[in-house]
Formats: sequence, C-alpha cells, structure tokens
Amino acid sequence: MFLSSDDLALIERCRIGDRRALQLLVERYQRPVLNAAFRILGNREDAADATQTTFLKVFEHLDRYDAKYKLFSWIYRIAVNESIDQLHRNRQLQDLDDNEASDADGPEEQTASARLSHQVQEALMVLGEEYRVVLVLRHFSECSYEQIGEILNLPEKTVKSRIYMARQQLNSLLVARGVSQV
Amino acid sequence: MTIDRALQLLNAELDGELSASDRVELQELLAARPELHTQREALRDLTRCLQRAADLEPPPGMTQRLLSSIRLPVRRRMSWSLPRWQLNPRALPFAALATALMVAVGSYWSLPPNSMVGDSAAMVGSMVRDQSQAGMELQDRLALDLDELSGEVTLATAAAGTRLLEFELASSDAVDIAISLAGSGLVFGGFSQGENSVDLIASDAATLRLRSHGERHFGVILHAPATANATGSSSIGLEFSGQQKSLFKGELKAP
Repeated sequence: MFLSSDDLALIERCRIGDRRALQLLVERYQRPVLNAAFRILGNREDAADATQTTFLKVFEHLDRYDAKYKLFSWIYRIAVNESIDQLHRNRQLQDLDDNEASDADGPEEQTASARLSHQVQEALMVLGEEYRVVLVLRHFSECSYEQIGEILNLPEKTVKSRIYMARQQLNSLLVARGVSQV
Repeated sequence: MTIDRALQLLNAELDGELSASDRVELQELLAARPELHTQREALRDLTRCLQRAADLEPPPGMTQRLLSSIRLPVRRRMSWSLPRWQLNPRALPFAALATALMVAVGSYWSLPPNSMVGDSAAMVGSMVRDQSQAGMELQDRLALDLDELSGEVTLATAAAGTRLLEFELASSDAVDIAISLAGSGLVFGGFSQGENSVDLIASDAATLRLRSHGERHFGVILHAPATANATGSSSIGLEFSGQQKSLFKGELKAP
C-alpha cells in the first residue's frame, strides 16, 4: 500500500527534533489513519480524536519503533487499538451519530458516493469488531493479508477466514438494504 | 472439495492473493460449478460498492492541531560538550588544545575581516587559511537547560583577536537567537561550521539574528575590525526566544 522508503529517514529526523520531518509524516498518514478510525468507529469526531491520540502515541514512543516493521503497520496497529479502545469506552457509538447520518446537506444534496458511504458505514457498524477491522484494513486501507496479520498480530490464515466471513456478512447486509446488486 | 474452499479461493482471487496452484484449482472449480460465477460477481460487486464509498476528508485545521499537540523528543546534550573543562581547571589547557586542533582540522569558514556585515551570501564560504586563528582559548560558556531549549554556547578567543561563538543546541520548536554585539567592538565574520543547519534571519552592525531548529551545532566567527581595540574586553549579549516569547537572556564575556 504505502510506498514509503523514506519513512525511516523521516523518523530519524524526528528523533532529533526536526519538526519538518514530523509535518511530512503527519501529512502522509493522517488521512489514511483518520479514514480507518472513522470506518471502525462510525463517527467523525471520535475518528478525529482517535487520529490525534494515535499520532501523539506514535511520536511519544518514537524511540520504541522497531525499524524491522513497516512504519505504517506500526501506526495502524496503534490506530486500530486506539479506535477499538474508544469504541469500548463509548458503546453508544454503535449507532451512527446524527451528524454523520445527515451531515450539513440533505439527502438530495449529498453526492451519490456520500450516500453510499453512509449506507456502507451503517452496514459496517452492524458487523462484529473483529470482522469490521479486517474489512476496513483490506478495503479502505488496502492492506495485504500479510500486512493485516502484522498490524493485528494474527496468523494470515485467520486474516483470510475473517475477511471471508466479514464479506459474507457485509454483502448480506448491503443486499438487505438494497445497496448491493446480488 | 467443499463450497467453503471455493469461496476462499474466490476471496483470495479478489484480493490478488492467489498462488499459481490456487489459480489452477479455481479455474477447474469455476468450470465444474457454474453457480460459482454468481458468487464471484457478488464479491466483485461488493468490492466495487466499497470502492465507491467516499473517503473522509481531514477536517480543516487538523494538520495544524496535530502538529501543535506533538512534542518531539529532544536530545539533551552531546557527549563531547564542554562543562567538564571548567569542573577541572587542570584539564583546561588540554581542552584549549583540543579546541585548537578542532579549529585547525575542521575547515572553518569565515569572511575576511573587512567583509561587509549583513551580506549573507558572502558570509558563508571563505575558508580560514590563517592558522594563527587556530590558537583558540575558551573564555566563557552558557548552559541552557529549559523545556524548550537545551545545550550550551561557548565563547573562545583566538590569538588574532577573533572570537568564536560555538552553539550546541537542541529544541523541539524553532528558536530565534539574537546575538547582540553592541559595545563589544566585534562584527560578524561568518560561520565557522554548520552554516547549513541554521537560518540567518538578519544582521546589522549591532545584532545578528539566527534561527535554530532541532539539534544543531554551529559556530559563529566574530572579528574585531582593524580600527577597534582587539585586546579590549568583549561582552556579547544573547537572547533566545521561541513562539514569540523570550526563553533565555545571557551574556558571554571574553577579557
């Protein structure tokens, strides 16, 4: 997914206090982290909070980063854990918040992709966490099975079976909502 | 062969994770079981559906909020810093000798003494070839140990009346440094080293303004113009500021 051969160089620069390197890393990863958090949490504000906490933890523990792992795997692991923790802290987020459901525009003003995004998010939130997370990493973060295994510390075989089960469930939910064709 | 195996293969195909043998196996299954084509389309349709779902845009100002909330680690001090010289007076000559050697072999850079102060392009790049300047003697130092800034500044004098201000700084944010030369009888003569790691903001006859960011090591050469009394006492004012507030004020003296 992320081709970031210079991640390590940026990390080294951050370790000596170079804030320009920090900015480059934040700009590189904030959007994918925000989107992964949003798909797991189903709420914009909490996704932004989880993203902020993720980056705070990443840079607070920069000295613990082991270069044998890809940087994005490490960031995603923190982001996923932070999102799940936040989900547990606030179970009411199982329901989509009103802001997300309606947003600033009425349904007729929403773009087709925004409407679809909302319907997909509704269906995702019905899935169990373990299924939602693998689907988010696979489809929205475009991680390979191996990368997902590294992020979630799971065997690849488990990743495969979870993705398979998650797709079955999600497809059924979307078909029931008239979103998916089959 | 179970239906689950066929669907596993279809999922792997969708994700681009089929091995060569898996691919052969899947092709055989698809040929033998036409209903699998429907499953295959269903999976593809699901993927297209997820791909069309809009990405969330980071809210306005998010990057700045993130950047302002993150503090980067700051290395407090390099291992070869100078305080031990002053703790042990007997070590001082060796320290001075070490400084002289560093100056001699370190390809220090400066301007000729009569160069115009404030010409930043000319300030960098003239190599000091007069090795009489290598006879540096440590005169004073300032230690900095603030949350925003740490390190030290040393002032050394050379036989020719040239002063070397050496900065060894670490800061998590940009720090502005004002070097006040008013009344010192000295003028800015260029950078001895590290000129690429520090930004020259402005300079005039009285004040030199620099900006340092992160971990920086650089030296500033100060000359006594020919018309000035090079043997007189020099007092150099230093002020460090960051995020529009003064962090530290101090003075370095060379007798």
